[in-house]
Amino acid sequence: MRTKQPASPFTTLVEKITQIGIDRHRDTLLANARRNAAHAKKSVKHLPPLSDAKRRSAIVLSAGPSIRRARTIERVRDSGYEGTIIAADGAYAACLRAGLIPDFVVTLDPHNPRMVRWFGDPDYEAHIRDDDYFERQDLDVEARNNAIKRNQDDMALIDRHAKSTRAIVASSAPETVVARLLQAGFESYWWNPLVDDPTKPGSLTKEIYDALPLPCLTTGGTVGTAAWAFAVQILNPTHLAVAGMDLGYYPDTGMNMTQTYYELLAMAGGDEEKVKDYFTWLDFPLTGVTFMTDPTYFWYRKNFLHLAKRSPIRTLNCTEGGTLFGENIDCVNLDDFLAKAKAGDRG
Amino acid sequence: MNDFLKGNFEVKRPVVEQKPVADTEQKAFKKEYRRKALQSVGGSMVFVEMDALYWDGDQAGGEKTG
Repeated sequence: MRTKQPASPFTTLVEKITQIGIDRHRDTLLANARRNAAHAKKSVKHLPPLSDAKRRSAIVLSAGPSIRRARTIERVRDSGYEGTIIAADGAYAACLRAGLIPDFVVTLDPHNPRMVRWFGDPDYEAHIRDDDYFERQDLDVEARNNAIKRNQDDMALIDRHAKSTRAIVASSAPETVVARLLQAGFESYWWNPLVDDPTKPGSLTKEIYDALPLPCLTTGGTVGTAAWAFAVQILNPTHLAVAGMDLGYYPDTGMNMTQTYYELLAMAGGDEEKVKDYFTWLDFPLTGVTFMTDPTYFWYRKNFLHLAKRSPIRTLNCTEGGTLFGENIDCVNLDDFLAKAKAGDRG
Repeated sequence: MNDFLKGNFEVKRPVVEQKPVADTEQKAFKKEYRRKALQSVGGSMVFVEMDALYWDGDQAGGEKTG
């Protein structure tokens, strides 16, 4: 397997991300937890028990580019999968559009007002001015062109189906997301992000917990990993798969279409040649296809690999591409996982 | 004004030498721009590497698993 070693600016930046995150999020996490105390009536410990089929098998659907390119959602739907379906917030509306109703949707990101878009944003037009964050996602090209209509359609769709899916809401959720979940009629179950060691002096987790005493789950820095951690620790299925968890970009994706391109370009002093030093490339073991990743997604990957090693459940990665492979993770074809789940075997 | 640029005539309006933008201002702008750029690559959530996947402080002495 060929792996290009990360270039120095890349490695340096990856090493800084933990501290950047603390500096950036600390005040918001505490403020959001305090504000959400009024809404957090039930925690993830209060979830009703699952059926045998749903306890036997679970799949986490993240919003990476493979979810569209590999037709992941449609394949899960068409298989008649009876296990638990857990959607990261970014994949939730795409599931509904395809006619697949997740059992759970997980939301984590404290950004306000950006994240409410995943649940249909009542103030979408005001919020998208000067913000091309979602245009740089590769989830759905059509959505870029018809963004406003798509948002209205999503709102209507989510309003119709909210009662069929339980929202797994982090105390870090911004006001707009919480208001929208209430408006749509979701039943919400709350948790705190486990952001550092709560037993150490000055712990941010402990401070959040003291403001709002909820069970704390690790997140690996991103909602997809948080959804996986929720499955491992709370649902504890016999077999657990993830899909749409690319943590990287397909070879035909231009660097300028990646999520943090403009920020990395700024760090490279505006030099389009030098910005390449902020990316790296990894070969996906099942196919040998080379995927590009940026410092943020590489950091998510590093965190996931760290946590996966410590998980009591082996993770089956059905993304069929991307950069997520390592100890205690098996990369498998999605159809194989679904077929085995149907046969009551390894699924 | 530089001696080499002296003319042999009198200008009608007084010449005020344009001072370059202070280095400190420019540096402060670049620093702020870089800070904002750095924030945007900082991930969706804080994560400090540790072994536990779960903690519930309401259990006696706290609980760690994973």
